[in-house]
Amino acid sequence: MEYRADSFLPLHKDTFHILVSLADRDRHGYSIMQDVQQRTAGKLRLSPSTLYAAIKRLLEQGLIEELAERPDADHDDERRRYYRLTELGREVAQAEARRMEQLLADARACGLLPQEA
Amino acid sequence: MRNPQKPNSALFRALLWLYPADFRDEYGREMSMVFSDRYCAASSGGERLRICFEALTGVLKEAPREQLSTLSQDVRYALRTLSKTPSFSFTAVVTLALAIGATTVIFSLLHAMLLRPLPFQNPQRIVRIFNTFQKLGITNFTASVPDFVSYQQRARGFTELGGFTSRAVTLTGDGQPDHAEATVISANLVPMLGIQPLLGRAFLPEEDKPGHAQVAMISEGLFERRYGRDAAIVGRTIRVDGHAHTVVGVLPQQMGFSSKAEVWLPLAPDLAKENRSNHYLSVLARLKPGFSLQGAQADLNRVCSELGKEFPGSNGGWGARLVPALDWVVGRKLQTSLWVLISSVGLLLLVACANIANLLLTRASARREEMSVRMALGASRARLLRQMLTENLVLATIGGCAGLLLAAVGLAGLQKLLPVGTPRVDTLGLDSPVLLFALAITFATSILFGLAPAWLASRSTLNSALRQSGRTHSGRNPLRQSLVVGQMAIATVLVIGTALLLQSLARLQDSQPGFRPDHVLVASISLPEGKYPTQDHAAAFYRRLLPEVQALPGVTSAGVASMTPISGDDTSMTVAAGPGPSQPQEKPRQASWRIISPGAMETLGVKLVRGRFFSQSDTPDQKPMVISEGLARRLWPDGTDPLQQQVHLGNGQVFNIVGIVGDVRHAGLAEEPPATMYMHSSWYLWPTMVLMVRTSGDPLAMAGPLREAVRRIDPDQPLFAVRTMSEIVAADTAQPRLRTGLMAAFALLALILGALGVSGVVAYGVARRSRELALRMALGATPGQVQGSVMRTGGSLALLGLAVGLASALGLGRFLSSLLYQVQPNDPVTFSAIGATLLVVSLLACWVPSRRAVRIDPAASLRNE
Repeated sequence: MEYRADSFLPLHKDTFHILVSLADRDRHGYSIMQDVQQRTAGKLRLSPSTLYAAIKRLLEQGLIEELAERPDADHDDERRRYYRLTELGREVAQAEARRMEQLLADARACGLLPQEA
Repeated sequence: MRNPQKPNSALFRALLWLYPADFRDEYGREMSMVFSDRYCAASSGGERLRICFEALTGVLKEAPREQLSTLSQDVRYALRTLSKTPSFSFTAVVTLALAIGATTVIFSLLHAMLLRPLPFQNPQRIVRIFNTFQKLGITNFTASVPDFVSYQQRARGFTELGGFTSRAVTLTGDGQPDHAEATVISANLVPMLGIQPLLGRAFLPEEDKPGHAQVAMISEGLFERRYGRDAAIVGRTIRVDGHAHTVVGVLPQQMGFSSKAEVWLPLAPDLAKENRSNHYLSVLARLKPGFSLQGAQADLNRVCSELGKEFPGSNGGWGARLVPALDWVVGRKLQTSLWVLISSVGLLLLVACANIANLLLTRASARREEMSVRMALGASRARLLRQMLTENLVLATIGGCAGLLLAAVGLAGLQKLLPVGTPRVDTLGLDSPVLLFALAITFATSILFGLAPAWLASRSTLNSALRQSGRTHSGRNPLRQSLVVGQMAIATVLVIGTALLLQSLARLQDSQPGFRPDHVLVASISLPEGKYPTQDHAAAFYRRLLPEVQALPGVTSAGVASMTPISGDDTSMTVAAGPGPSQPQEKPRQASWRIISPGAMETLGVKLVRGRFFSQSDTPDQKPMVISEGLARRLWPDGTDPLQQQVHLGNGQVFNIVGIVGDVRHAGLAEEPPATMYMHSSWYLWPTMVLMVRTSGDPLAMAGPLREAVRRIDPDQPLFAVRTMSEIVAADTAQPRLRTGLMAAFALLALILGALGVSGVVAYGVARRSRELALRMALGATPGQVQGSVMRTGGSLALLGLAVGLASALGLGRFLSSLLYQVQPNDPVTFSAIGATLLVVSLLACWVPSRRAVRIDPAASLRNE
């Protein structure tokens, strides 16, 4: 079934952070959790329940996929499962980033935020 | 050694059980790992605590969402699946709706009458005291006022005793004269029961004394009906039977032991005027803390024994028995009826569950392939089981909702069918406890009918499905067969029970009341004491009224009596043959008594056996008495002719027997006719008398002319409780009729379901064995042999069910015995007749589907293989 990226918007903040986390590399659950925590300077802490509920939904929606092989097989626990952003997932993440960018621009235009240098 | 920073993940893993099984299977292990990783990476105890807290709140937040998501997915799938098999779904929903609806209706009756507590404080401590006279089998009698006072003074097992008696009164002064039911109570009765007046107060002890009783309370119903809910009624004066009474309070209409009373007056007993033989007071008591019913009973026995010794003439032989308030209000017979009905409808529900389970088993075989494919695609067995249970729940929920609709309709109908005076049905309806019950049985049925089929279906594997498409089958399935045996057994029990009740009802309706109820109209007249202060005033009223009524066109005869036959009311007194206690001829006996005017016996159509009825020329000095045949036999068992003999009563009065009449079933059609004496109305008139007229045409058409006749004599005098005698007789059998009707409906449904069950098993067997049967026919078996072989399977199951049912009915019969009239619970004729009928029904149920077996085309069937 064809999905338009815009139909997923706006994304829940947890979902967006997970997609961002998978944008540059494939990761397992714990790695996603750590990445999100680091990038948000500890402001967003995903619990195992929130993380895997989101992963389940993203898998069902086809925004991420599970990898058949582990990318770092030698240095990793073989029981871990890795996830990758799908093409659709990347489009959705980009669409959400653009939406946020537009929001930011609107906020600047109204004087809510200072103009960019 | 365990790393001290490594968490014990068992608790977290236990929390994961809150998730649906498939989610847990998919992500549980990883979630535990992630939790463990985070915990180990934490730098401080506070951080670790925070991680545990986040994990806990995360699970508590997400697990219900996952459960809901899986449930909604399963429900959608279930609805799709059910819509694909509309005939199965329709049959199952209708079966469930009928069973759940019927069970809900009967439960709401049970709840309203028995399970709901009486509106008293600590109702389980309230008891009714009945006077008894064992030698005569009197077990439910009222007390005399002096006895009531003696109980109050001497019994140690009660904190308090209160008494009441009922009478009809006339309200005048505020608008039209109005008839009202009044209950006369001791001042402590309302506080003893813990009932709070809605307005004002209850009676004070000083208002319960002769000469100080000019107060009254009114019921909420009268408060609304006559006084438009004007709170200013409290403190105002109303006229009750012509006397002024100040209203001091308004009581709830439903008082637990009375719902009809509209006026409450103080008893104010005048012991100087009361005597111990005059039993008219109903006594209630509250058990003292620390006293059990048995303890209080033992103490009351002591009091009765003392009174018997002190007052041998009035109290010798009399005892008292305690009955819990609920048993008294609802009555043993009605309680038994309710338990029999709820058990029957429960059995019907079981039969319905068995039927649906059978349908599901058939469906499960058809879905085996689907299940195998889903398992092959990775669905776990738990997942499949959950899916099937959800389907069952969806089915049960639809059936439950439809059942509730049916129950609402059924309750509306039942309220119209319930006999007048059925206790505690004022709150009958689909209230929250009943809805909760309906919800509970809906869930319970979904488990009952669905668990085993779902379990069996989820056991299928791809291999078994592949194997299934193989050769022949025996068509046997032990679970299905047990279900059919159970269904037939239950249906047999219900049909036997119904047949016994039907026979009992038929005999009850055939039982002769001892008079001719057709073409008789009865109505009550209550003469207010203020306007008719003496017997002469009352006698003068009736002397004018009766000729006026007799002269009405269409009236063939008329009379008055102190009570309507079969009304359930009674008065009794001791009586002995001979002119007085000095005569040693006979020991005294207890007999019912009635006051009747000349013409009353002729109006009722009571048979004159010997002597004569009363006449207008009888005078009070002659003290004439008519007695029933039963009393004549008791007083003169040696066959002495009672005519012209004398009897003396417990109060010392002597009467002369002038006539003997046939026995009348005054206590009800199902009761033995009491030994009865009839006194002439010139002897005494009650404040309330019953006017009876025999008409040549429709008796109800005479109600208007009768009212006019009464008004011509006293314009303030209302006529109330106007009914035909036929109605009263029919009302006496209304309860057994309703009970039997409901049982018959349940039994019929159970029988249809049972027969369908047998039929279904045979049809299933034919379908599964079609190749084997085709092969047998191809090898030369005749159609008769093939049909016989198929019928034997179903027939033997039905026979087994029938045998189990007959044996169970024999064992369970004793529960019905108190509801049966002139029928034995193990009546051999009923058992044989019903056994034979059910056998024919079972064979028919097998024969219809077995015809399919002989229609199998061997060539076509074997080619398909």
